[in-house]
Amino acid sequence: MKRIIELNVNGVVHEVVVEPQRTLLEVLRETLGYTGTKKACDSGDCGACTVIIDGRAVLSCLTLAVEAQGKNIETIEGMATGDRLHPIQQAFLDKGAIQCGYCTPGLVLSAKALLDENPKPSREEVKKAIGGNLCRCTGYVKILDAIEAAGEQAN
Amino acid sequence: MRPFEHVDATSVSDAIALLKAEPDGTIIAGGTDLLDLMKDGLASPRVLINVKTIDGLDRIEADAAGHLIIGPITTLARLAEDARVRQDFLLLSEAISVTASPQLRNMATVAGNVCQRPRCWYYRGTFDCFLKGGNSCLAVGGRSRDSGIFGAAECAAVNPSDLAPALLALGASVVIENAKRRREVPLESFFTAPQKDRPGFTVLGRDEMIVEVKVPKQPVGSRGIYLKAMERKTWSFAQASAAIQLSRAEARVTDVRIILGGVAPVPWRASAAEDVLRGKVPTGELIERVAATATDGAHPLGQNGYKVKLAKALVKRGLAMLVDNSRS
Repeated sequence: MKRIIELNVNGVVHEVVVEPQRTLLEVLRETLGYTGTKKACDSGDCGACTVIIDGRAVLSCLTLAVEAQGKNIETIEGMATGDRLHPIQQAFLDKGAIQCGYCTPGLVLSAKALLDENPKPSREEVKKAIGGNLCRCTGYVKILDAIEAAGEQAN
Repeated sequence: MRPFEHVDATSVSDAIALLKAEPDGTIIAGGTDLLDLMKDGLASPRVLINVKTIDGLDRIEADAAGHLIIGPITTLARLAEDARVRQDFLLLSEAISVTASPQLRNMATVAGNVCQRPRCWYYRGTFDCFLKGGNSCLAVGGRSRDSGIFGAAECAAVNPSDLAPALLALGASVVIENAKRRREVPLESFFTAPQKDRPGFTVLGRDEMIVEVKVPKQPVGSRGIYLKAMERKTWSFAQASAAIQLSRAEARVTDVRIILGGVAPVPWRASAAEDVLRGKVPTGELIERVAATATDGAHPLGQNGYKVKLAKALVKRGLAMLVDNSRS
């Protein structure tokens, strides 16, 4: 049975009609047009669909949209301010941490969840924080450099 | 996913009444295993009963006797971060720190982790294996590198939990409720190996719910360790793991629990190995003997003999580290 719910995405409240089996990932991309959140494995293995809910990095492919009602959802679209990229996004550009780009939104959000809690993480802490995000292009080194640089810049 | 109804439960008794009224209903907590199973067609409940809307089910507290009481929908991440857990039950934090990925630890719950379905390539894939009504276990004589080496009855799939062996090493129990009664079940008798006449993975009835996980206070100076062998450094299920809790008085071992993960359909208690150590002074030679005893009775299949060596090595290393640390 369809239900009317409110989803708060990047501070904007959307009223949507959803069926219970729809995942947050599907509703973000297909109903609300937030296509920056990527669908890859759709089974919790790859981290491409990572969003932040109430301050924690989670997988939108394993979250039911109806259960995200009333929570603060942050997606990649909420990171930049106008034309100014978020420092993490800028660091990814500066350090060449992007190749095909498909894993990038998920990685940036995992990095944001980390840096919001721990602005100056060690390399080991950065590695742990992105342990659930797969990148098949870069070999990760430049991604680690970018997140570390973004952390240093925030201080 | 097949369409289903989704109901927000308002209380434990409400959730239990819904379970009873709806034979095709199931509880959803973190959903990390359940939704994956549903996407793969391995579970197709008609009703999902959301228990995250029930107040107080995510508490972490100590009771008057100093036992740790964990609410069933406490996420793995919150449990691992809890100051009391880090102080007195470090084994739990250690086990969680190597479980799944950060995102999954932020979502997955304690009771959901304990109740997760087994891992096997045939079961999770598109094969008519024993668990899906097939005649026999396909891993026997087939791809068996991830299969169990102990305790398989008719299925060689393993219980993949990291948290469950750690909880067992601490002597934890689960408090279960149904409409009529509340009972406490030691985790040691909670898990079951699936068999033809008893297909489940735990003793949890279909109209029952875990309402609490209880971890007894450990003796002063008791220490634990969780070691996990993985095919890569992160986000991987255990090839084998060892959860060990050791208590000593002076030099002698007063109590020890050794639980192996990823090697059997249930978290596997190495009781005979514990008996070798209990009451003794843990010398290097004795630790060797304990580790060898821990894998007594193993029956590896064609491709998983390496798990016998891994399990033995983890027990040996874990005990050596615990003994070293408590000396300093």
